[in-house]
Amino acid sequence: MLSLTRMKSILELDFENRQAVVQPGVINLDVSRAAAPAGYYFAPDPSSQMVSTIGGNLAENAGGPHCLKYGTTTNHVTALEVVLPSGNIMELGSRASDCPGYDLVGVFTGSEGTLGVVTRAVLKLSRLPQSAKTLLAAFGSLKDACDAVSSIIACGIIPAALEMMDRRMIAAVEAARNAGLPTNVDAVLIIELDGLTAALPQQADHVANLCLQSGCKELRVAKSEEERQAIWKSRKEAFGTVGRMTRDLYMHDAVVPRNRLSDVVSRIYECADRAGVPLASLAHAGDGNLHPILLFDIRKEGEEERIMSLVHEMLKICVDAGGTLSGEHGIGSEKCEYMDMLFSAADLTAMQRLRVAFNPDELCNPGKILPSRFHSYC
Amino acid sequence: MTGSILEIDNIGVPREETPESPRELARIMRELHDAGTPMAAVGGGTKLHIGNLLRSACVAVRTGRLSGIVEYEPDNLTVSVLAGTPLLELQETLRAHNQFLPLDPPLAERATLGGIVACNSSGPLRFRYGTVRDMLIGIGIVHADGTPTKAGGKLVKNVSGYDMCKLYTGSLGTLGIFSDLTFRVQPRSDAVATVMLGYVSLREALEATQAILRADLTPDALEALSGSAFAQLTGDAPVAPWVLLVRFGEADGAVRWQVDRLREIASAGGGKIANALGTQESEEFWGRAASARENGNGAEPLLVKCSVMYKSAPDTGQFMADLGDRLQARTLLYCHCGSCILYGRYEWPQGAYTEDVLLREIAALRRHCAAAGGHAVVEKIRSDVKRSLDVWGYQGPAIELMRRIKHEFDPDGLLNPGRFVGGI
Repeated sequence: MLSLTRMKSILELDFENRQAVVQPGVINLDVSRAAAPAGYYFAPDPSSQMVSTIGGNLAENAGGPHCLKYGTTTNHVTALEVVLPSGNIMELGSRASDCPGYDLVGVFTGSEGTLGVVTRAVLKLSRLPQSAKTLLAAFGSLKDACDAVSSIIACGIIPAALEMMDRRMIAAVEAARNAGLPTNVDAVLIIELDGLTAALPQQADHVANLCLQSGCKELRVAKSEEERQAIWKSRKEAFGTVGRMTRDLYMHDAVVPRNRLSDVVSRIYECADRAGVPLASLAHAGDGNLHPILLFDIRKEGEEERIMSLVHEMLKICVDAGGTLSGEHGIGSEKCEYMDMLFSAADLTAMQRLRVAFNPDELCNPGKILPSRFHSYC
Repeated sequence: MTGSILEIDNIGVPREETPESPRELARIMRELHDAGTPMAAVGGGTKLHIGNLLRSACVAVRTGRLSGIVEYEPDNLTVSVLAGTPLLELQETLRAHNQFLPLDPPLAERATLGGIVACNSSGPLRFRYGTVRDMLIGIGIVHADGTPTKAGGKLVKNVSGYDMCKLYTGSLGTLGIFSDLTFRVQPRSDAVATVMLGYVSLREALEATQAILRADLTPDALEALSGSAFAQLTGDAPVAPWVLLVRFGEADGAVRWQVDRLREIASAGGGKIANALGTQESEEFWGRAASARENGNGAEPLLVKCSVMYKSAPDTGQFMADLGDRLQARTLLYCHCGSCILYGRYEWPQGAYTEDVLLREIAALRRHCAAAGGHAVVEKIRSDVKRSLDVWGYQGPAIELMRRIKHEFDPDGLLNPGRFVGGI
């Protein structure tokens, strides 16, 4: 086990080049906090950003609610210092733009620790938006909420974030935090628009109309920064509140094309209903990234097998709709056997070639990402 | 097809193949591979001047007939195209749904998406929207032995396995030949405006860009052109030693607010407003501006791309201007202010300088850029000079990793041999 938590310095904030140079153990939110006085921030904002580190964000290519508009970690990194499994220190990319050669920074980001270990990263900083407007829209059915998402994506406005929570998730948040979310509805959308103050009122009206046309029951617009922060706090802490409702849980992380959202979501709920497994759902709906959470008690006889078979069935629904296995949590060892659902043997061989170039003896994070037959020790 | 006149750096291609489908591309490549024949992908032929000399003559695999939209889903903001599709053709399709692919490399009417991805081409819009790596989400590629593979999909967020799209972007046809590509697209802005500001130096123009960002403006593009480059682009007399072009694209009210704000910033910072364009004029103007660095007058050209850090960029601009003076060249300079990439286009009468003179000047430019925290790539130069020049100038230790990747994917070295960094 290599722990990078002692490498926790922000080495440089360079606002002229909009770059931050950091060590891997720096907490995600601390980069934004350090840059905020100058009007800059680090855009990737995983819900775990108060505790997750840049090294982990890079390894997993972390997303977050605002990656709908601003992209994931890979879109915000320009150079890396890494240590290869051989022990060699290597500079990948460059601080100056368009480093010649293969985009090794791009392939290293999201490689789940299987190509080596990041010891220093040059991150891109973004300018804080001038204003943000946050809307909370409640719907009488998940289908109506999904239809609203699809119509917003199609209308020519890219919200900064477009998040969905289902009835059970709302209940969990309310039970834990009494956040004042609308209850007795089947879904809420949190829609954030950001950018120039002059552009927001018109965009907010447009988005509100699209929600109403999709059957929105209640629409709130945060009137102050406090109200806005309260809405986001309920969203970012939502996953944590589910723990109060169940002994065990399994959180899914699948992605589907945004125009297939409604169809896929209804099939996932049907599938859980058939199996008699309660579901609570979070979704980065604007990205098509679904996080249905299966609630169960592992102590029950045969429960693990039953849940894993349900997980498989749900992944298949997503893949059949043109989706994928993971949007931001990665493949790890749990999903590596599922890679065959998505890729041909030749596709996986190409990935293996990449790994071999960096990590021929599989010394770093062995057994991850690719199915077991691709791993040398098997 | 025989009797072709296609040349890559004055090396004639012995044969051209023109596959019409991904399947045919795979068959052709398998046959070439089995015969041990080197091959080079060619799209619209707009970037054949990029790269080192080929190590051996190659069969040209032309993608011109591998063209068309495969699937366009406006409500998912994604589009898939065959690799030989010209960028302009794609933009026309997207325009019908008020969307576009925010890439503006030179010569969009001929440049194909396969070529744009292979060369990682970009233009002024990269300031707001990024480069190919930020938009390419799915890919079909045929490897050296004719094996087709795919990676990614039509999803804007995807961490299922290694991000192979990143590996192939900018790989200059050395790891395979693309069959199809999937991009995330963007909604078009309701309104576009362009403000042109004259400055006495690149330093002042760059300082203005920092003031623009501090004032919360969100431009699409921030380009500084030397007076000569601006004059060539507009056909007008030079208005100032440097002209800063600021493009905004938003809803109408937000564009107007920014233009007004920019006028205040400019008058405070010594910039003189030379011109301002509305939506229609802006689109025509930027269409021409994107290609400007590729359009010469027929004289012998040198095109260099220098990337440096912000603090050094004014000195780099001066160094590049001085280089032009020493060569008595017509010198046109273009600076992407957001990323501090400077293009220098130099023109002089054919054969005016010997190889030695040019190599010496390039070496000096490289030393300057390295000291400025960056690098210099020679994008276009007389072919005979390339015999003694690595146009990429990349000396980093990661070259060993790159060679290993190349070896894993193309062990026989059949794909575009020699043209990429370090002779890959």
